[in-house]
Amino acid sequence: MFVLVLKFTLFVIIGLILVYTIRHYTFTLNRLFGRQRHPYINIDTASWPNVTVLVAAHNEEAVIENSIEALLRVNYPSNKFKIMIANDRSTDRTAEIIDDFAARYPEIIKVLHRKENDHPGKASALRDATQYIDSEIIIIFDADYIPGLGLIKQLAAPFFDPEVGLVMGRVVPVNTGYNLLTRLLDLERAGGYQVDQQARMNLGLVPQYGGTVGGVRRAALESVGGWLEDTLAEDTDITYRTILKGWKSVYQNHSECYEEAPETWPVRMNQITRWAKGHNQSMCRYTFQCFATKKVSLSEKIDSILLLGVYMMSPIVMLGWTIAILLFYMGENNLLVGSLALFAITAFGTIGNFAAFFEITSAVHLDGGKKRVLLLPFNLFNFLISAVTVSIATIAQLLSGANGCHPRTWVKTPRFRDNNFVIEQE
Amino acid sequence: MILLFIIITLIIFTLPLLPGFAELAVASDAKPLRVIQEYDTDPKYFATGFRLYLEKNFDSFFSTRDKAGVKFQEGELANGTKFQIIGKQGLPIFEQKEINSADTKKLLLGAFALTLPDNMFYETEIYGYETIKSGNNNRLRALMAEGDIEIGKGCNILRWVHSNASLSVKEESHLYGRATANNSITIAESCSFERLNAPIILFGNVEPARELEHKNTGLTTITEIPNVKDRYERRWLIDGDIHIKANSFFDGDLVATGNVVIGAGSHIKGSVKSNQDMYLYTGVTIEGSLFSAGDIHMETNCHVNGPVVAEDTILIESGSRIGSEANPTTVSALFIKVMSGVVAHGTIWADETADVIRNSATAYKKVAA
Repeated sequence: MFVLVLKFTLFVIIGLILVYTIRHYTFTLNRLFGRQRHPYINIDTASWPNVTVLVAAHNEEAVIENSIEALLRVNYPSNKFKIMIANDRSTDRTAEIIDDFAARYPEIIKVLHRKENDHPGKASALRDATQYIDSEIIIIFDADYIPGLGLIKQLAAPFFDPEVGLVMGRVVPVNTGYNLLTRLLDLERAGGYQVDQQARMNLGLVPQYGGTVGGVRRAALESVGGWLEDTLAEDTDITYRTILKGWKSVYQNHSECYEEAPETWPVRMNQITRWAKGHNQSMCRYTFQCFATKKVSLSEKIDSILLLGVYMMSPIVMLGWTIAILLFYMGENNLLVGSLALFAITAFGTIGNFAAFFEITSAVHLDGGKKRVLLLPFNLFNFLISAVTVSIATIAQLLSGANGCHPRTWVKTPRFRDNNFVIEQE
Repeated sequence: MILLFIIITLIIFTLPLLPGFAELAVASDAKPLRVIQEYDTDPKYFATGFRLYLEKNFDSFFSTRDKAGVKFQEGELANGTKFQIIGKQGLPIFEQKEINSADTKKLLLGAFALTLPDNMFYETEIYGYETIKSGNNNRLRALMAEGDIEIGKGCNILRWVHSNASLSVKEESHLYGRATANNSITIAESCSFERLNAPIILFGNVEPARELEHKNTGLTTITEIPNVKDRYERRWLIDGDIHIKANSFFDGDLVATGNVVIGAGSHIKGSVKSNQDMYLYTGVTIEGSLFSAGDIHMETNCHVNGPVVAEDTILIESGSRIGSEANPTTVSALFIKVMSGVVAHGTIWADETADVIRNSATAYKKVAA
């Protein structure tokens, strides 16, 4: 009976891996050969809506100055443009720096200083700050982002479409050449945005709002009750709550903004741990609702459920490996026999294993990259470390019982650059 | 034997990583992907850059306010670009081999009204301190003038054209890239273009209709629409098609998962989105924007105040007006067909091609009336 259960579980896991493999190929082939959708990028002239750029800052003295200066330069009608900075209990010079800017630009910059005893976390900071925003569109940046002159218009343009509730732009690592990790993350981000997100946009699925270089329609936010304080991934959370209410999220591949990728493996592991826990939290909350809702199409349902499950796949794959090894040593490796086994193993070895790599190489090709693709084999290690980290995070979350879907801690990703940083472009 | 096996295994595992190690050591492709921080979505981006380039390379030409003293001059810039400065005579002078090949690679700068001979290929940019008349049947890379620009019959503009005053384009000309003007653009029938931007854009040879008035009296206010999936504040999300009867008034934003058809004379005080095709009968007024995942067909005398965006084709019939001088806006689609007598304010941008046509019978017409 035990062996039967193991075999059945393994087949289910293989089935799930197959589904995600097909998903990778669908996205990549669509991106390479399908019709590309960029319906909002041409809107360059309009009676622009009131926009507030919301920046949540927690101990950002090293980077906030650059970011505010870049925001003050953007090409957006000044009478319709505001910046709201939520100083989230900073203990460094962040408050002093933003107060200085607010004193110099009182018509544009508003500041909210959150107190020591306020609820910690980005979602809480966004929730508190949103109360003081009166514009119909809120564009959100992290404090280390440096927007180009036209970026705010590009991110505001999709909101002319009354169906759009969320907009996401493309995040591009700025410290690509720092070390092996940043180079691998550059490849991973390219795959995620250039292929994954754009393919979702092309196919009318659910491009995910990523929490920065994106925007939210105030009405959409209010229609779902605003930001939730008890979420670790406010971006995934708000994506799901708004699409379940019938709003669309859209992706703008040409609305690019530089970000800083983690430069050390511990920071990277902390970051992906937080993402995994936040994502799993949303999976607990919204999977059933995605099945049940009548406000999204069938393809959106399937995509949104698969998206919710991406981080859960790491421990599932680990479990699959464990079961396969266990069955092998129990002498029960007879699930597939003869030519069928040969065919299955060969097929997966030549196609299935490489789905994620195919996605990355396609992204590099679309970006016009040249030699950076040579680092692709190293991504095997990156994936392995990520899979183990995510699995540990997920298991820890499951072991925390009833609180598993309600984590309360939030770890900020450290910054590596400072305000004197100069962008060295390709 | 085991040692040999281990060594061979290690080699097999290391081999695929060798190019990666080499790239890691050399870092030949390690800079961040290019994000143009200075791009500000301004349609005059190239013209502005060209003007700065000229100011840098022709300092004396631009620093002399009175151009009366400017005489014919030829030369070559440090980057190898040959140029010709044209004075009062207003005509470029070509060498025999240029005349024979009907082709010039010279950068032309006109100090006064500049007229270009016909049937030539102008491979380099042309600048006019006053006006430019492009001649007929010419191919031109790019043009910029402080005054008016007149593009003659049968010309092809390959990159961009910008006038700091007004731009007019005669029949059978094709504008690839951007065409912009600070005052107005008039573009004749049988022309095609990709991107136009000006405060006023007039299409065809027909006198445009005067400013349309919003007719709010005698309209039936809509309070119920079938198959509402969700409703929040102004937004109504409808499952399936929306059919708005003629002479209706609706205050809110409409989103349909299917087609949208709006009856003649109706007035929508908001924006409309269709996830299939959209059809506006004659005299419809939309105060907000129009979005369609398919086509948009606007019959005569419609007025849309906000952006009009379709993922396939937009057809705009005579007498329609897009935007206003106070509220310029954008029309964008893969293909755009505009009839004579249409007025637009702002940007008209076709990802593939836009045509100015005489009548809608020749145009794509998908949504059934």
